[in-house]
Amino acid sequence: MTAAPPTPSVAFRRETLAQLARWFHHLRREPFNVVFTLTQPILWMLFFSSLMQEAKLPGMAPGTPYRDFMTAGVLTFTVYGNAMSGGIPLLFDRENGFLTRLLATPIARSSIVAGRFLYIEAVALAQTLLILGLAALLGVSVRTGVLGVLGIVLFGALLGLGLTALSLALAMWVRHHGTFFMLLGTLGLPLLFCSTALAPVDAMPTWMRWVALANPMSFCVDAMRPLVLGGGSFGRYVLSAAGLLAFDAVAVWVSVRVLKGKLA
Amino acid sequence: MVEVANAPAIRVTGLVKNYGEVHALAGLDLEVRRGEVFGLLGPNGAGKTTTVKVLLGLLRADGGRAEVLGLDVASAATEVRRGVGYVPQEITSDPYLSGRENLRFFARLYHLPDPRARSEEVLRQVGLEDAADRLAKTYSGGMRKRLDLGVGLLHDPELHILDEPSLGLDVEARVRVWTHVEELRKRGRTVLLCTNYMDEADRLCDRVAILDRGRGVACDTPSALKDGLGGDVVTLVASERDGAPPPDWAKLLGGLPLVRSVLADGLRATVAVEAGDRALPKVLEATVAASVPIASVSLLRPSLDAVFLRHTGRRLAEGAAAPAPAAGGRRG
Ligand SMILES: Nc1ncnc2c1ncn2[C@@H]1O[C@H](COP(=O)(O)OP(=O)(O)OP(=O)(O)O)[C@@H](O)[C@H]1O
Ligand SMILES: [Mg+2]
Repeated sequence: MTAAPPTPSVAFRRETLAQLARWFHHLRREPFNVVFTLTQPILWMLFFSSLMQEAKLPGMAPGTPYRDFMTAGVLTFTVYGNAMSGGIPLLFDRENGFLTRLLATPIARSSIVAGRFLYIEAVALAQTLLILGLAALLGVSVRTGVLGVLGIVLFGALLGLGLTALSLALAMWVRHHGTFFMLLGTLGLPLLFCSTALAPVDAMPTWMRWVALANPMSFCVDAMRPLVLGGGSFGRYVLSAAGLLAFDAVAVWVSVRVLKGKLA
Repeated sequence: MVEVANAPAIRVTGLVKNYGEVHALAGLDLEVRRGEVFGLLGPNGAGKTTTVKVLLGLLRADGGRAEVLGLDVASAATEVRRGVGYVPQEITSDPYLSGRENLRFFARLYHLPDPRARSEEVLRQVGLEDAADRLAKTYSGGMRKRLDLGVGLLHDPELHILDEPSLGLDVEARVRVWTHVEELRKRGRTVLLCTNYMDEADRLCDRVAILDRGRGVACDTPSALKDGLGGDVVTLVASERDGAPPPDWAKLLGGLPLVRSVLADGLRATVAVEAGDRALPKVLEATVAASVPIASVSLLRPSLDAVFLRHTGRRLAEGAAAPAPAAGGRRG
């Protein structure tokens, strides 16, 4: 019955696609989940920008409405939330035994990670476009045009890659899902506030600046912000891309080590 | 596939697995021949699931060697998995996919030439056509087990590993599982069946290994294991005939092969025999040949439970022979 095994690369592609399809089945079954993940950034956009409407922070270009300023931050935080929760279904697969059954099939272990990763990237793309659409309704247009939108998607993907890798590794590493959620809840807000997402570094106390400068979220925001507002420099983008790639390299390296041990 | 065709289906030597202080496997030896239904019988915590996980390369053993279909599990786990259909102890199908979607998903992972067509075949085989489009989470326990059995059938592998497939099922669902195993046997497949129900091992398995605390304590055919306890007892009662004397049981049966002793008590004879299944026909032939009319016959065989008792000094599991729901049967 078993067909001659296809070449490893064909096999890997098919296994990844089968698993990607499974995640989309789940999405179809739990549409409220999607609505919910999409609502969160919308609420940020609406409430936080209304609250801070009059804010003039040191380091903000004069005349920039806060709403326009924070668009890049909301985009980044959405990527963060989405990527960091990417490991959750794996956590449940692991706890209810599905993962064991999956591992008993002759698939490449990496296809489990690849399938999940592609799914998260697809959702992130949809969210990014949605937020940009909403921002446009609120009067924030991407000054750098279509190329800028592409750039925003790309930088989001770069941040998402490393974070997803960490999330998947964390899902395999924790002993109990409670730990995972606790870590996620504890890390989220400090990382958001200690980044340039909501305020420029100039508005921060010194210790916070150092954290913000090393925070991968800031790399992403600092590239996305000029893409939204205009006035970016090539050097700025290269620096952000380099920072994010370095973060990805470390994150993927750590995750591969963890996953290799766990996905026996 | 590069498997070695004449190697045994499974060969395990000196397998050791420790979970910290717990010695789950303490030097297990096992050999399963191709085409047989082999039972791994043991109480909760004996090490059955641990053995299975090592065989599939899901757990690394701390010592010893495991070969499946002639392949070393430690170095060729992927090939091993290609040749094995696995039905885990817990229910594992995806609750958020329908039965059909579950099967198609796994069919694709096994790279079957036509995943859709094959899934339909398997749906029919396990009798889930009518529920195929319902989410698995709406299935009954028995239906979900059947779905898992179906997943194990998809790539029609040479070796099937079923870990306590009838645990927690009602009588009807258990019988279905038994039929499933019988069908695999008919198709010449090898089956490794983990169970802690001795009636199940007794009725389904060609050979049984009794496992206790990570060690094999006995391994043979169910009847040989039971014969080893000192044989079976045939009880005959002749019908009463007016005026006729009771049959001379000792003369009638005493000299037969396999008969060890005959205790006559009027119309009743209590005959100790070796291998009751083979002795009983001989005993009956002899009585019929002597025209002794028979009112009743019974054959009493020691159970595998008794075998376990003999080898370990403990009972297998209280009430394990009853098709009771999983109450207490499942570990944490
Ligand atoms: N992940 C684990 N961590 C620690 N101990 C474990 C783990 N898995 C199994 N054990 C222990 O190893 C021993 C063997 O367990 P195993 O699951 O192989 O038994 P089993 O024969 O399958 O039992 P059951 O009939 O209850 O399924 C038990 O003492 C069990 O508690
Ligand atoms: Mg078990």
